[in-house]
Amino acid sequence: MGLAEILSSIPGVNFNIGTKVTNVHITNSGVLVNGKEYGSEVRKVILGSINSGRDDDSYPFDILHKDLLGDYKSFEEITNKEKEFLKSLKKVLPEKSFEMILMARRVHAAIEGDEGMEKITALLTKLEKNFPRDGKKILNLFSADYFNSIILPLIESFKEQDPDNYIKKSNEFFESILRFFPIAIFVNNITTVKKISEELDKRLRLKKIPFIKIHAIGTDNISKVERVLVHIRDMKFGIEDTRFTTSRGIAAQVVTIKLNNN
Amino acid sequence: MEETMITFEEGSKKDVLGALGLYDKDGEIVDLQGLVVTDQNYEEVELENFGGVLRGSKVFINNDAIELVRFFSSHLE
Repeated sequence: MGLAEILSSIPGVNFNIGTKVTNVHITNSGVLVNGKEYGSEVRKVILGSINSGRDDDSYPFDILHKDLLGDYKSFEEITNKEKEFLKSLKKVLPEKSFEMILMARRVHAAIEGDEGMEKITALLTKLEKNFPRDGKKILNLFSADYFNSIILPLIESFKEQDPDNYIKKSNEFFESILRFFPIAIFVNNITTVKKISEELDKRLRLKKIPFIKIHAIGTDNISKVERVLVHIRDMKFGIEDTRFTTSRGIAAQVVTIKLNNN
Repeated sequence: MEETMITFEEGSKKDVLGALGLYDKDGEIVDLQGLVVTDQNYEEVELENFGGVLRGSKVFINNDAIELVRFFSSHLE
C-alpha cells in the first residue's frame, strides 16, 4: 500500500488519493501533509507506514533531513532541465570530475537564484573542501557560460572528427583548460595586479588566440583590472570593456582584448 | 504515479530511524542485526550526520549536499 492510500484511509485526514505529489514533513510532535498540520496520532501512523512501504531493496519515496530539501530540489531541477548537457559531459569525463561539475553547477544555481549569502557561502565552502584544486575554476567557467559556448561545442567537434578517440581527447582538453584556460582570466579577491599581468603575458605570447577575456566581479577586482588595462591600451589591441551588475547587485566587468596575431 | 517526499526535523531523527527499523547505538546507526549503516561509499553514517534515505536503491546518506551530487550523478543514465 502506498503512502497516499494510507493517508486517505486515516480518519480525520482529508487526503485525496489522486494527489500526485505528497510532501510529508515530520515535526517533533506532529506532521504536515502538503502543508496541512496534523497531530501526533497521524504522525504515528505515517511513521508506522514507512517500513511497510519498503520492498526488500528499496523505499518507494525519499526520506530527507529538512536541511537537504533545498539542495535536493535544486539538483532535481538541474538534472532534469540540463539532462542532455550533463549526460554529454558524464560520457567523457571521469566520475570525480563530473561530480565536481555538478556541485559547481549547484553553487552557480544558488548564485543565480539569489539563495542568500549564508547558503551560497556554505555551498562554496563545500565545493572548495571537496574539490580544492579545481572546484572554483569550474564555477568560474559556469559563471562566464564557457561550458555552453566553448567546452561542449569543442567536445562535440572532437566526436565528429574522431569518434573512436573523442573521449580521450575530450578528457585531455578538459584537464588542459583546468591547468590553463588560454582565452580567459578570472580575477578574484586573492588575485593581485601582478598576477593578472603575468597571466595576461602568458596568453599574449600564444599564437592563434582570437581574444582574451578578463572577468572581474566587485569594485576592488574591477579596479585591479583597470590598473592592468592602462598598460594594455598602449599596445593598440582592440579592447571592449563591458560593465554590468550581477543578479546580486554587484558591479561586474568583462574586458575582451581582441588579438590579431594569427 | 505517486511521488512522495518525506522530510524530518532534527529532533525527529530517532523516530524516523525507528520507523526505518534502525536504532542509535552510542552514536552509530545500526540495523536489527547490529550491522552499521553505510553511505554510497560504504562509509559509516553516524547519527549526528544522518541525512535520510533515498528512494530506489535504499541509499543512506549523510546530511551533506555532496551525497546528493553522487546520488543524482548515478541516476543520470
